[in-house]
Amino acid sequence: MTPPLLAVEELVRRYRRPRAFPWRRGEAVAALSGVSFAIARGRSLGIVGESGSGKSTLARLVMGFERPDAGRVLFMGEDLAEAPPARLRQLRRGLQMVFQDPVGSLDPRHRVGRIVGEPLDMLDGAARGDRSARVAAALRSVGLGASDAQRYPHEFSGGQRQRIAIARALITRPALIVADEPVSALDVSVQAQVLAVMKALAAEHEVTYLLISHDLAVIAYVTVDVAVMYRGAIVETGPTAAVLERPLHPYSQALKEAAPRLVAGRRRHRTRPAAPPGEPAAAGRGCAYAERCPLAQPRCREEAPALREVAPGRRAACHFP
Amino acid sequence: MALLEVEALGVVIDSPRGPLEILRDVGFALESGRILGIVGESGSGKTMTALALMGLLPPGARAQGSVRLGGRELLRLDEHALCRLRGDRVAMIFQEPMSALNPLQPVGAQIAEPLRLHRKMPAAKAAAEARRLLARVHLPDPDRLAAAFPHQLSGGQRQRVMIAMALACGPDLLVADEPTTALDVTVQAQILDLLVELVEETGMSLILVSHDLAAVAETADEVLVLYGGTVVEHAPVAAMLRHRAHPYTQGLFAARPATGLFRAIPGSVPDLAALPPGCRFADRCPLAIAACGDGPPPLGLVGPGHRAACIRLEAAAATAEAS
Amino acid sequence: MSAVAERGRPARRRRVFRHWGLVCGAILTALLLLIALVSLVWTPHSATAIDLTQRLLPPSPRHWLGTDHFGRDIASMLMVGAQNSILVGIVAVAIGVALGVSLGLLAAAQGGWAEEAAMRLADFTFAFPAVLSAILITALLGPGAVNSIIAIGIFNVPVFARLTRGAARAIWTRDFILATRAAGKGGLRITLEHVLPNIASILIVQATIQFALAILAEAGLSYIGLGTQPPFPSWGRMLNEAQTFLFLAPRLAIFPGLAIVAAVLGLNLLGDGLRDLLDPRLRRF
Repeated sequence: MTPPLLAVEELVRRYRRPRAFPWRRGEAVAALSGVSFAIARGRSLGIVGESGSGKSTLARLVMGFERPDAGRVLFMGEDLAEAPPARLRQLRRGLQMVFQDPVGSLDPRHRVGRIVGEPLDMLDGAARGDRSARVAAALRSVGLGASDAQRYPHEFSGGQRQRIAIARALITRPALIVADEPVSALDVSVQAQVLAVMKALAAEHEVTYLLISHDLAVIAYVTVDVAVMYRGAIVETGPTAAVLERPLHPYSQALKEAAPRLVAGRRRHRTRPAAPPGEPAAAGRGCAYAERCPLAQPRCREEAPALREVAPGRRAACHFP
Repeated sequence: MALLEVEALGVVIDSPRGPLEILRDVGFALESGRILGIVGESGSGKTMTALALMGLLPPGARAQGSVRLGGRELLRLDEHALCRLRGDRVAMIFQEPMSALNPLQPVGAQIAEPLRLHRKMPAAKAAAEARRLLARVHLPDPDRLAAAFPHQLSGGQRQRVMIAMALACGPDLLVADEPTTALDVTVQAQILDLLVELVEETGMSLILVSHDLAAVAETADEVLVLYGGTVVEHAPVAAMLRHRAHPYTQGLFAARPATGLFRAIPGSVPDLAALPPGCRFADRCPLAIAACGDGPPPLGLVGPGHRAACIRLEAAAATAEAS
Repeated sequence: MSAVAERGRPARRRRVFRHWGLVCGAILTALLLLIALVSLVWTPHSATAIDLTQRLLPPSPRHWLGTDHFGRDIASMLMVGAQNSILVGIVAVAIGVALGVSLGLLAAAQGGWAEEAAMRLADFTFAFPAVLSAILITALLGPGAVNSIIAIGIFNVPVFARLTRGAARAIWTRDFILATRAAGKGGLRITLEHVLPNIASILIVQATIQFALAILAEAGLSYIGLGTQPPFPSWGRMLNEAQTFLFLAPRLAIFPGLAIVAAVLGLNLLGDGLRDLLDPRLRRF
């Protein structure tokens, strides 16, 4: 059996808060507490969550920018953390990333051609091929021209820069692209340019995405499966269309309900609860969402629910889905 | 007479290449207890409009036209009179509450400040009022929170503190510039609900500035769409959801991934340093003709209270019909 | 929006002013270099020839700026002294850049204990007043032009180390560095290909300022007799020797003083102007 494209097993990552006094250790905060999932080739996975959910930490661990405190990241069945350097370079070809900030992710001192071609630098000659031809091809496949290689990043608009970043990710013909909020820094009118390019590449170049976003609509457009994260753990997974249509976990439901919709005056003239749900409080032993959950029962505060199959193909971490 | 009447509002800044008209001919009226949404992308002039209303334009920028609040012309007031007005009759909240709050002062004291300044309230009474306001914006345990410093609060809590501060003197008009952009989706929904609730209870007017069409649509009564520093469409929300008159508004709606269409508007938002003399959307507009470049298109009536600035309204209506 | 605000009227006036500063700085610096180059092949008189019959002459067509108490031509001494100042500046800044920038880049790239060690070393050097450490070095190695250059150069090391480390660390947090790491590049290549080009403008600006400071420091060391040794002329020693005749012939102090002011001012204006010119964010208008 071929291993999945990407498998993440029981990933844990803790950060230490800066210490208050030199003689004291900083308090450890878990950004990820035991996250597992697998992505099969062609089944792009969306990760939805709000700030503090650990979704960006997950991206950094998958890319190998940081080491997990526990658990493993397996790319095509191999642990990046244990691969020897030569093998690691080979594996890296298949794994690229697109960042949120289209300004900060392109070196302002380099021309676009050099930026896009950079991932080729570390490949051996045969894999490298004709550099300028490949740069031109990559730029064309994101809707830019070969002559744009001579220009500098600041000459481009935000949407164009993000497409340059995609071209850079694309040039090694990767199997998996990790995209961390790729359109949230862009104007609404150009977000579609970038998402359309991403979707087209999935079909033409057999690219699979690990797409991180807070925007359900973006996730729905690009991905096949989705995982909803809350405070360092996955609370619900399943096929994107089904989860967004009928979320099972109360947090997923809250996310869907909160997303702005084009309904005139939806917030006007309606009865509201006396007090809105509280902000997240410190994690106890029970369900992390119990503090904010409108459906919480005594059991939720006592016992943390496990992620389990609650319907065919659907898993949720809730006692009462 | 409407509470706020804005006529031919413009903002001009000087650049080495000459004056730039970054906001041109913005006009609207807002009744008490109503919510106006101002929608636009970067460089649309939506923040400039908000700042111009508050008399808070950055140095080097000049406002033209007329802004009347309760019949009083604001643009001709001197800084001293404006200061008395701000935080009292008109208040503003910003995108990033962390930078708008003083990090070294407890939030209770910061809320009490406008009361002591404008109402000459004694310290103890102002502190009690500050705690009442914290409860008013649904912050739990106001007594404890009043003593907290901004960095001890979450983003949503900080924005609630900003709103409490803005409410302190019971303003007639609240201007909210992207109040939820820095917040998570679920928190954004709560803040928008709070703003609507306050409008409905106090009868103040709210101007909600946002890049998010949907957030405005579900919150506001009417919406002003800005592009490149000009009003392209102005309508009651329900009317605009039924019929988008301007090609830019149509493009903006279609560019949302949530819609079935999902088409980007080609090109990118205009460079304020190189604005065309005619319609500022013409270079990205699918319906543009040569005449679009001749001069600023006039705002034409499309329906009751529904205006759009385009000389190709019939063609736009036809394409809207087709899609 | 904030970008728009920055392009208001005051910003423009400031830029025009800076632009003039850059031109003035460049002219003064070029003049300094020109004078030093010319003095290599030609001076009005010998800068070292003593002629006691021509002592303390006022400025005249023969001696443009007059003569000193040994009858040496002041204009010629100033010209040859410029060589000295430039040499000190270049070598001292080169020492500071070579050691300081490497140390700073290493600290920023490695982090952890390497960074701590490099920075504490810099702090240690910084803690000594520059003149004091220069006196210490010249006292150990003996006075002389070479030793004063080394002393000034060592003083430059922590300046560049700190600046480089701070700027490089800011670059290391940028997303394009992560993109490069995703390509599999190591610390050394990232430093050379991405970090260094992005902080180069800051370093160039600092180099001009340190250049000016080095000229001042050399003048100071020579003034107290620890720098350039006679008979080779130096602006600092000229000031020193002028002390005795301050009331008799104040021009002996004024001319070298003006030379120092012009050189330092020119380099500082040049540095300030370059800072603006090299900032890509300000390049639009």
